[in-house]
Amino acid sequence: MTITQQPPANLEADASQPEEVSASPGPAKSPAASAAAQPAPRGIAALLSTGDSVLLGRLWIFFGIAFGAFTFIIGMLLGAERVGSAGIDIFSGHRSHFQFFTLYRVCLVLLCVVPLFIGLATAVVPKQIGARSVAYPRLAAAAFYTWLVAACILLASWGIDGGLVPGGQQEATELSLLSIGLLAIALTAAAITIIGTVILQRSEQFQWLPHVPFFSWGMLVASGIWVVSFPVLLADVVVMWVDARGATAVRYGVGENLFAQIAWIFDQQQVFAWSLPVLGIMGDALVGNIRANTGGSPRFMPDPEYISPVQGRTQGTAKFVLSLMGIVAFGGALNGFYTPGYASSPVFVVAAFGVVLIILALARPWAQMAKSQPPRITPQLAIALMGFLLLLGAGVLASIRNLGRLVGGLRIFSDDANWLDNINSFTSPFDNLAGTTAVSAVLHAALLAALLSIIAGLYMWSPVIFGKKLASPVGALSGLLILGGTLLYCVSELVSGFLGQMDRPAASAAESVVRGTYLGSGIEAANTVSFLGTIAILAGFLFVALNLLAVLRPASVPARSDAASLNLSA
Amino acid sequence: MNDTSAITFAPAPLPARKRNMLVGAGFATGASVVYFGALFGIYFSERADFNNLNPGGSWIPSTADLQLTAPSMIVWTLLLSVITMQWAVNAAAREDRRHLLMAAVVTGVFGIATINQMAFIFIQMGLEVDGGSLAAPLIYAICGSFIAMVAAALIFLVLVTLRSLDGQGMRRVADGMSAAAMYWYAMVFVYVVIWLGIFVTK
Repeated sequence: MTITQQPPANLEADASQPEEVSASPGPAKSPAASAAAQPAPRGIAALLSTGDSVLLGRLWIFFGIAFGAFTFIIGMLLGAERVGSAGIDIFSGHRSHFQFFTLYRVCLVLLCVVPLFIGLATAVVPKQIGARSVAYPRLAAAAFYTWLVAACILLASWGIDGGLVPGGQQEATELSLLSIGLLAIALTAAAITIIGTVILQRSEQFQWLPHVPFFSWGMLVASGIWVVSFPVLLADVVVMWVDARGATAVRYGVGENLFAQIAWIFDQQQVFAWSLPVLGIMGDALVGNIRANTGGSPRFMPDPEYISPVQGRTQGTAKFVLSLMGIVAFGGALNGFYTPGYASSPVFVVAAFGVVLIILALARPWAQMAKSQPPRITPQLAIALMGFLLLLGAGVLASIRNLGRLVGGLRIFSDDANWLDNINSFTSPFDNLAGTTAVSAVLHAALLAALLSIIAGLYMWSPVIFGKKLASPVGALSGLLILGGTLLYCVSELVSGFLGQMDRPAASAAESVVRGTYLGSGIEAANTVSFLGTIAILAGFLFVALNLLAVLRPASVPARSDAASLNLSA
Repeated sequence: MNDTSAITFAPAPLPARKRNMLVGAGFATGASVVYFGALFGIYFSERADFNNLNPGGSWIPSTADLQLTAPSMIVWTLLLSVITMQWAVNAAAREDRRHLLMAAVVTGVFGIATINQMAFIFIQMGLEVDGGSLAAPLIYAICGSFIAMVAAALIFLVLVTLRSLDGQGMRRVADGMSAAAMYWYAMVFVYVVIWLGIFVTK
């Protein structure tokens, strides 16, 4: 392995960012020199006071993986609960089942997928764009530790009978709301750090912003969407919290309404905002492997030596299309609790199809690039491609969910009664998908596409992040397991959605009675298949976690100074 | 694994770009404005739904007393604070520490007065958060968040002002003061919407 970087030029030391300077190699002097005279903190103190982007990235990734493993174990238990009978077998009751269901969803987005992307970006983006560190190292550290504390509070609050469920302990529920609010603030701060890094810290080569590598560009667009999404989540949580603080909640803090108010973060279009960096990782995997196959090193950045002008233009087109994804993926305005008819709104329906069109439009320039200069086929490229195709699959699922509404909208252009009758009979099955497990299929396809891309990124950039390569065959096996599990899970969820199975489990025995037993042989079979899917997903994820643990053993983790020198070693 | 066996990073970065703090504060301000936008969206949507379902009904409970005097006083206070804040920005740009300190202190006093007046409004209106009204939790969520925003703007202002006293370069202080001013102006804008949307149109 050879990792090289030109030493930074004579940089103006920034008095406000001592961490940047001390973490960076090079001849930067003055504050760094005086800092060097003081003994560097060690152990926990070094961790708590670090502004080193690579170390922070590792911390995000380590805890994201840990919380992710916990999340997928819950996911497997939820899958097992639906197998076999209509009663409650694994959890202690309907409320407990619903409690774990909400915990699973919250953890999947706020403790696993988004933090893993942030960790990857914190470690890799500064290296990609030639920056010494992230733009605001202290803010980055504060964001991580706030997120970590909030995540622990969240798990503790669910453990003491809180969560977003009716009939929980009021103080515990308030604690749950507080923790979600803190998570939103921490992730917003982390997103701002990434945006600031790309905008402010890029090197001269990337003076024209769209020239930054695909992952940096994708994270810039995604972070922009996250910065306007998390405040909306925070607003929802604050309203719930204020109402729940009263002796008797009026509407927003009522247990039955809690989950519904934040359900938009698990629904289209927002799920595509969480998984938007998938496109950036795919782009970098492709460009890097094209370079690897054309005799050059698989650089992160555009380089005229290896990329022809035609490819430069196609890259520009791809980045423009990727930005369009950011526009259609914002789901903060589509809150079904306040706007019950949101799923029939033209914006919602058109955006679902827009995602598919955008992903297909993005595939075209990449296919052109691959055709003109074939890439080297590697496990990382294969996993990134799986993530990309799975995201396309999520878009197709979202489109299927909205097909009835789209055709219904088109009916206004026709007065032909027969045509309308035919269309009516065609679209009737699609009209009933709202609130069914079809929603879960879209969510999981998009977020597990994100997970596959994260794995591709981890294996692709492991020398940068961990100072050591991860075992490529393990990554390929994990990717296949997660892809296979996701396909099993999503297809069976879509089938059970057509058969009428509701996405949200009953929150109480009374609600269960009102809903009635909808289990039929078809749904039972679909639930069994989806359970098998959750097992495969968990197994794939655990393989990655174990591989990372092996790399993160203290003996194999380079010390901070070693990590810094890594960037300079020829 | 042979694909990423050689990774060459980008060349050395340019010297640190100016206005780091301004850019960061800009995104933080944007996030704050989106947060209030979401709160306003919920408030106006819920009020419209209530009025549609209860024609002739009162969105604000009859037991509550929402007077316009104190909220309007806050508007004037904050408008004055915009002038003094700009004075501080100008003083920082001219590297005039004395004027900067004076302007920042006056602006800070306006901010504290705003919090004081908001507390007075809370006591005066006598709106019970659990009194059965849908408006009460939303008004408290919006006004409470606004007080938090004023407090954050004040802390930002104090930190930047203190920096001007510690002998650091005034260029950084000028950037910081511009960033603090941007957040402050956003706070004033948010209050104007609160004043019009909640207190004037009720």
